[in-house]
Order: sequence, then structure tokens, then C-alpha cells
Amino acid sequence: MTTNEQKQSSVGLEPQAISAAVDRDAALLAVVRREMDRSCAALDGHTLSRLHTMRAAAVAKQGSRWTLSRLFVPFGGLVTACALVVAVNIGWNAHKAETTAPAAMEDIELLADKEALDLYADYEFYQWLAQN
Amino acid sequence: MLRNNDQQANPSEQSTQAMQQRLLDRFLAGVEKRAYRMAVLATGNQDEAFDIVQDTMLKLVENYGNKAEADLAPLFFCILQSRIRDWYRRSSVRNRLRSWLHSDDEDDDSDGLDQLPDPAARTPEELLATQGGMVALDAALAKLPYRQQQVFLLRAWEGLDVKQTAEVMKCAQGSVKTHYSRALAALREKLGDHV
Repeated sequence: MTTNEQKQSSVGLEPQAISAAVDRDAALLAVVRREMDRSCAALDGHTLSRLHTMRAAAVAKQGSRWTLSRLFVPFGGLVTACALVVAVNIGWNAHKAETTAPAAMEDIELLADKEALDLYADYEFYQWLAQN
Repeated sequence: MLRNNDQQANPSEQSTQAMQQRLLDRFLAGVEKRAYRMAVLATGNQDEAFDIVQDTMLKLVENYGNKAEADLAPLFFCILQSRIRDWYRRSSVRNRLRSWLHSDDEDDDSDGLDQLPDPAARTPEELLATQGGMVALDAALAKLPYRQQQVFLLRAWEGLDVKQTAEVMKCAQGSVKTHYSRALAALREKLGDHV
């Protein structure tokens, strides 16, 4: 019990009364601890056996969990490899999209420019004109 | 497949696993009786207490099996209190449902005997005088409201400080102080003269 709690439980008392209350609480707490420890020591065989069985099952579960986690390590590696392949593929496609983007922009410029489009429409005529 | 993996495990892994299992076993062996007693006091039922302790052990191993020994106690009591709270919620819903269902046919079976006080039931003071401190303390603790009882046990018996108790009980530190103070006052009133 902390000093503050002792103060809290003894608010409004004289110093001697506070001291007596603190001593009485300390004695009570000591009795509580002693009796609770005794009650644990006095648990019957059936109870102890059931608790022991539960503990053994829980600890065994820890062992199997450990083994299972190790069992899935190779699968974990496989999953990581697949994720890496997918990531690289996505990255590659993104890169390809980036490289094709300027070409697409050029097409848009040609289509938007009316004069240039006329030039390309009569491209063969201009080519003949240039040769002659 | 599992067997092969076990055989392939290197010695350091095996020894780490064995060490962790020994640590858990030692920790649970040290705490299981106290946890059981706390659960019995909270529920008033041995079978329910066994279920709660078993769930707590399995949950601890499942989620925190690789934690250091120093961290296990607060985690264990956190899970234990969570399980006890779940039990309280379930039982309160069950009781409400039962009272609702029985409210219609109350006159059919009831002969009023259920409402009479049990002549064999004794006050904590009587138990203390006749059967010693353990039974009297059990009766006094069992009469405390759930939060007061568990806060008192965690603080006085398990030795958790206010902050740890607040974390375990999922309440404010001020509430822990209040519950503890009230529990102590109630126990002092019931047992104080006999201590």
C-alpha cells in the first residue's frame, strides 16, 4: 500500500489514529497474503492435477507452434519470391508505360496541329515535288 | 513432414525452443494456483475458474510465448482479467435472459423457499471464529464487488503497482486507488477485529 493510499484511507484522523490505522492495515494485508498463500498450498490433488495438465498442454502448444512456424518458412520464402516477381513485373510495365508516353504525346501533337496533318496527308505529293 | 523438420532443426534452434518451453513451464507453474484462486473468487465456480485459467494459459502461449520472463506476469494477468470480464458479461446476459424467461412462469414452480436465507450460510465473522482465517477471508473477498476484489488481489497479493493494476484492469489509476481503498475498508470492517 502506498503512502498516498494510506493517507487517502485515513483522511480526517489524528496522527496517532493514522499511525494505528496504517499498522492495522499492514497487519490485515499480511494476514491476507498469508491466508491466500496457504489456500494455494492447500489445493487438493485433483485441482493440482488439472492445473498441471493444462500447463503441460499449453507448453506443448508452444512447441508445436514453433515447429509449425519453421514448417512454413519455405512457403514464406516462396510467397516472398512470388511477391518480388509481381513487384518487378508491375515496375517493368510502369517503366514501359513511361517510355511509350512521349510517343503518344507526339501523336497527339500531330493530330492537334491542322497544318502538319495536311502536310502528312499529302506527304507523297510533297515527296515527289522535292525529287523533281 | 513435421518429424523431418524437427530432425533438420539445428541444435541452437532446438535449445532455444526447449529453453523457452522451460521458461513458460516455470512461469505458469508459479502463477497457476494464484490465478485459479483469483478466478474461483471472481466466479464462485471451480469449473468456470478452470476454463478461465486454461484459456489464459493458451492465449499467453499463443500470443506471447516468446516474451521475456519479466513481461509474462503483467500479460498473464491482463489476459486473466479479460477472461473474467468476458465471463461476467456472459453470465449477466444469461441471468437477464433467465430472469426474463422465468418472469412469466414464476408462480408455477416457485414455493418461496428460494427466497429464504440459507440457514447454513454464515457471515465472515462466524466462519472466522469456527473455521479459521482462510474460509473467512474467502467469504469476505467473495462478497466484494468484482472490481474491488480483483484490484485488491492484484495489488495486495500479486504485488502489482497502481499503474500495472490499471493496465491489467483496463481502468484509470484513480479508479484503482478508489477500488483498493474501498476493498481494504470493507475487509477491515469484516475481518479487522479478528486479525
